[in-house]
Amino acid sequence: MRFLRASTFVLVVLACGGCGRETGLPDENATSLALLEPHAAMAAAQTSRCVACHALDGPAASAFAPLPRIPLRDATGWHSGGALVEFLKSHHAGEDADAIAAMLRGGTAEALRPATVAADATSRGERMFGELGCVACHAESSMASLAARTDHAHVVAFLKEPSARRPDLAHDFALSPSEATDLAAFLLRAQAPNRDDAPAQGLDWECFEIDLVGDELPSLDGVVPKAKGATDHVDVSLRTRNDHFALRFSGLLLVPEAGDWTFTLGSDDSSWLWIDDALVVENAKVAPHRRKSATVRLDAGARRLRIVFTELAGQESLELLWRGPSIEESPVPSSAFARKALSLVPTASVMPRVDAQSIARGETAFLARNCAACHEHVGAAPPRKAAPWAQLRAGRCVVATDGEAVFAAARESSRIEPAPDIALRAAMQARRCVSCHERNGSGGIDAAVRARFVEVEDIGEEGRVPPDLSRAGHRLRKDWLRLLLVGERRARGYLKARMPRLPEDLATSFAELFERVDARPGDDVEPAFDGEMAQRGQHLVGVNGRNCVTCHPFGGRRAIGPQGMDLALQHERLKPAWFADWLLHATALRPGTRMPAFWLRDDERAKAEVDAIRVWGSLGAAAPVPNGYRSVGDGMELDPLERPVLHGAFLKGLSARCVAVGSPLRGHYAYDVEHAQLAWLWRGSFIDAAGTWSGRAGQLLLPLSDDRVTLDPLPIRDATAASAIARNIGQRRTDDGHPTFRSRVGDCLFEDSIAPELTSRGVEFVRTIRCEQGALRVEAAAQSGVARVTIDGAPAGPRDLQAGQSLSLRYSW
Amino acid sequence: MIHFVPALLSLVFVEPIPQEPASPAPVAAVSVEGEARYATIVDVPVPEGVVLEVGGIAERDDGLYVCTRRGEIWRITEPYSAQPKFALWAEGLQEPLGLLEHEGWLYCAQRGELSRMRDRDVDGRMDDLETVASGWVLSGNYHESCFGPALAGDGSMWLSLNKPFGDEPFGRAPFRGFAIAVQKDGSWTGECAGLRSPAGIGTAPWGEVFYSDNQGEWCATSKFAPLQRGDFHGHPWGIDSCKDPRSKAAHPGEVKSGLRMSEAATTIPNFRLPAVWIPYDECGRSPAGFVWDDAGRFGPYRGQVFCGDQYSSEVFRMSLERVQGRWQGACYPFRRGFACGIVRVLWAKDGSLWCGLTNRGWGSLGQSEHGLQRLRWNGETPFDLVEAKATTTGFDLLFSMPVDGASLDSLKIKSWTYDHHESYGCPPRDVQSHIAKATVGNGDGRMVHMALSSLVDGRVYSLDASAVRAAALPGRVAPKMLHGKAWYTRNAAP
Repeated sequence: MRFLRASTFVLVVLACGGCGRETGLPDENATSLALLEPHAAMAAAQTSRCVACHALDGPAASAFAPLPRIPLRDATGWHSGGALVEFLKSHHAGEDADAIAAMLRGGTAEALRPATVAADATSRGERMFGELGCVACHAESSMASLAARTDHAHVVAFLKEPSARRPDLAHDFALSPSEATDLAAFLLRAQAPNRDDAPAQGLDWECFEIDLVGDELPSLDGVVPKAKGATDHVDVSLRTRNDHFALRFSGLLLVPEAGDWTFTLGSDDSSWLWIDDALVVENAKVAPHRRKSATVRLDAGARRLRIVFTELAGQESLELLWRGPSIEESPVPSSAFARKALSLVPTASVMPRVDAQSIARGETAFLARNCAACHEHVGAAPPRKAAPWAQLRAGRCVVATDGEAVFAAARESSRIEPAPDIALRAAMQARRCVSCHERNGSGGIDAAVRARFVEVEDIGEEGRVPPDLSRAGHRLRKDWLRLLLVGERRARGYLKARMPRLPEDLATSFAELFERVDARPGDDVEPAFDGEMAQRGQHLVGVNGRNCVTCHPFGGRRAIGPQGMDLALQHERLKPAWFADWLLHATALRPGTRMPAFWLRDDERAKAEVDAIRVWGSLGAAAPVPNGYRSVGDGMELDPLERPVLHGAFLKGLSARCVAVGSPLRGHYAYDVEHAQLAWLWRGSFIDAAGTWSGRAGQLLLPLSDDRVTLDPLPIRDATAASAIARNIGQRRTDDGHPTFRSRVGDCLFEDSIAPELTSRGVEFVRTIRCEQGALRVEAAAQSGVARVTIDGAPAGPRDLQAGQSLSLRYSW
Repeated sequence: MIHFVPALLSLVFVEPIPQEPASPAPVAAVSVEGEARYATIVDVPVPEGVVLEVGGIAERDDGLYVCTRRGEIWRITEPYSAQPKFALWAEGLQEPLGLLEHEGWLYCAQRGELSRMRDRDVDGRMDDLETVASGWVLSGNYHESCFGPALAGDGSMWLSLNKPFGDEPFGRAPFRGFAIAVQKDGSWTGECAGLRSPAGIGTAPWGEVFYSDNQGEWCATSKFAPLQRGDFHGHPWGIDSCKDPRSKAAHPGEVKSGLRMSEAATTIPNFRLPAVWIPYDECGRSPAGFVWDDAGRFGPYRGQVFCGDQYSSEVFRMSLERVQGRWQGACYPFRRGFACGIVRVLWAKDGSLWCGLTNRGWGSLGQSEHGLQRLRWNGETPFDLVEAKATTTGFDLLFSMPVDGASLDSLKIKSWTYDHHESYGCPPRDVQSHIAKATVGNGDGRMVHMALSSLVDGRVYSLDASAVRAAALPGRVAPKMLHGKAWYTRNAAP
């Protein structure tokens, strides 16, 4: 009986309007609320903001705390013209709507502004509206009112930083500026009734083959281009020959905001930039690549852009950068170029000015209706205290009119601490997680909009819609979950649908709830680390093992087939018990998954293999790369996969005579040949040879990883002569490519060899110094840079070595 | 870009190993097709993924060894076949720009050391690298290249050290712009100062070491010169090191900019004029590696020097003669049309010429950015000017075939000199035309004696015999002149 009554209450509360109406959110589903019994009424009271006025205390309070207050800053910009009054009428303001609207206007009324976007922005926005998953909560038709009451700038501002306007929503989708621009253009498409959705991004380009004279600007009028087309990028790749040519780019530059804009043209040889037919940058010189900048003040919107580039002979290059009020110096992105623009013209009229008396009436009404309980407004009085929840009686509420019994039911349940699963469900409903995520058979993407989600990789339904969250706290580590929820981790790179970023405190409470509800004993028992086991795991992941490389990328390296989840994340992400369970029984645990069952029997051998993969994975992205992954990138990054890779180079802060040695174990070092010293140790990515191998080279290189130490020089002396300046006399190399560096100091000869070794703490380095001739004094110390140095497990100290003796130093950090 | 006047710009801009062109393309007098009839350029297919930016070449019985600017040494077996096999023999070297086989070792100039390497266990990979000599420090400037070694007649090994162009992040390094000689014990001495961008260094059949240098500041045009102890070749960049006890070159004192070349030669102590000035864009642009043909591999040019050009992707010839105790001579066009600038040349076992290609950092004519080609002499002798030699009254011109004396009126002779100055390169100064009185000499009719009006020493003579005709022979059409051009550096009269 209580269930029915409470549900009635819920429906009554929902009928009051809530906050969904503004952006067309569909009404909450009473059936899903029913799952929250006996706390359904509490949940509805939270989402409908009853608890904002009527304080809830007792055990249920923390689970149904009031949602953050909504600031009313710029409400007039969002509800322009008569829209604000209409909205307030339907909200809670009743006959005070005019007065409160007047107050919100505060005597000023700012006009809405037209905006210019690329002509095809609306069609891109429409695609995003489906792919990103907006459709899970918003019906497209219900968003139509936006075009009638606000402008592009407001919508973009909201999409970029939703929490400034709606801190109660989990709506931060980390949209890039161009995504926000396109999505807003789609939502406001009614402001451009005659639009043409043909692709219009980029610039027109032409290449001319002409005889050039020095750095003079050639006349291209009447010259027939050798080739032409449309491009996203301003560079020299479109040239039809290498010498004596000119390139011309023309189109529109979409300036995102008004202010001072600095444009930089870099070129070899000459280049010119015009904006609105005025020459802005002239970088005319027959010389190597160099940059030239100029600053101009521009309004937001589309400006005519033209660039001419000329090349006489030799090497050629061209780049265009900009810096604006809120943009750091960076290449002008392709989203800022358009060959055709579209104007979005707001339709709402400017509201008339209001007098002080009306404003005062509004302030009185604002106070009387206790709007401040749910809304922040500058200058408004703090909210009044209303009767606490426990004292509520039917008939005194401004919205609900049902009988005493309903309130009694709600009152009763408010005294019961909600079970964790109820609290979790309530929280998931309050933040609308359930619109996308199924859990334990309820929630998830509505069948009607499911088709709008796209599959990028061929991995079935799992690659299309947001994941089922059943058992999430059993599967996922709590820390991972928290980082995922705040947006610092993403595992499903194949999913177009986007997860919003939650505020830190909310993410923490979700992570804790999932853990409390789903965790099981034994979830976190890890197999013990062993270096050989890790290498066995590396082998199993590879093409000659269980061939995980086919579907799983690793540390940014692409999988051979579809790009499933990145293996480098799985140790941080998955609890060990689930990891083993999943590998051994994937198809049983999730019918329909594309993850195959590799181990037909759940025996000791299978468990040992799974543990080996787990141990390998514990090294994360720094783990040695399994067979089957290709080298990273097409560039010059050196990526030792099978043998050590040696790179002779200038190293920053060391000398111009160094050898960087990269290992497939992903522990690398740099040996300074000039000073006969081991100088750097690092883990992860090795080094980019472009500074040595491209163009004129001679760049000072650094490791590609910050996980590194710079060692203090290790003094190695001739014990009998106290001579301390060692000189490198050459190298030996083992059959598998590892170098040993040989040096002379005084009358002594010694060898220095460095071997990375896998440990549970990541790669450590074992350095062996062998005395070939004479008597050596090695002035080892327990610390070198930030690295600990040990000899046989004890802190390192000075050692003497006779000919034939050697010493092993272990470096870790 | 086009490279020019770096003396002023070098603080801001850096400069490639050879200078980039000051005009779009070198003068092309005859078609490449004409040259191709006599000498064929053969491609050596390089496997995908191998970037063969050749710095040095050595050939042994077990294969052709090529070191690259990426610090690798590739061992190429069956290099003459249509499908040569490449295997990585060594890696991790620092921009090696020369390779030499000697006493079972491969010697190699890395940036900061002379190394020698071998494969002790014969598994196809270098496993022993010995540092033969080091100690010329690097400032960290990209242009501090080290070329060589050239094995001199006395057993020493010579290296040429490029001067830096631009930043020196680890501080000024000594002995830049020096040629140094390394003894067997690894000790070394600075033999000559004043080099600029000495991309070629090699040994004459008689054991003397020569080098080629690239036009630029303090280098009026590209040149070819012997390296003799104590000489100063004109660039003052590194002359402070003359005060170092390891230097055998005396300090030339203050080097004034703007002297006429003959004045520089007489007033600057130990100033060494080149044996051959190589006029910019008349004969290539940026000379690099060279070899002597001491076996007549290339037809009638036995004893001459064949030099690769890093920009114009050609091989040109030079002849030398000893006049008043000094080498001087001329340069001549030979074969253009390679795929990329040539940095190294080496005689192949079959008598053709290996040409190692790269243009990274400066650009070149041709379609490729690196690679390996081979120039093969086809056996037929073209009608061409073989050699010019100085005489007391002018020049003797030796042609490859008897000439038609009636065509000698067509000889066009000009001469000029240069200024020795700090700015980049120098156009010909004081250009004069000469009236040539030429007669066909006795004997086989191939020699032409030529007396010149207003003959002055210390100048470059442009000898244009391109309109000279071959003597008609019964029953055959007289062949056309292939080039008929020479630029003779007449430092002195015999």
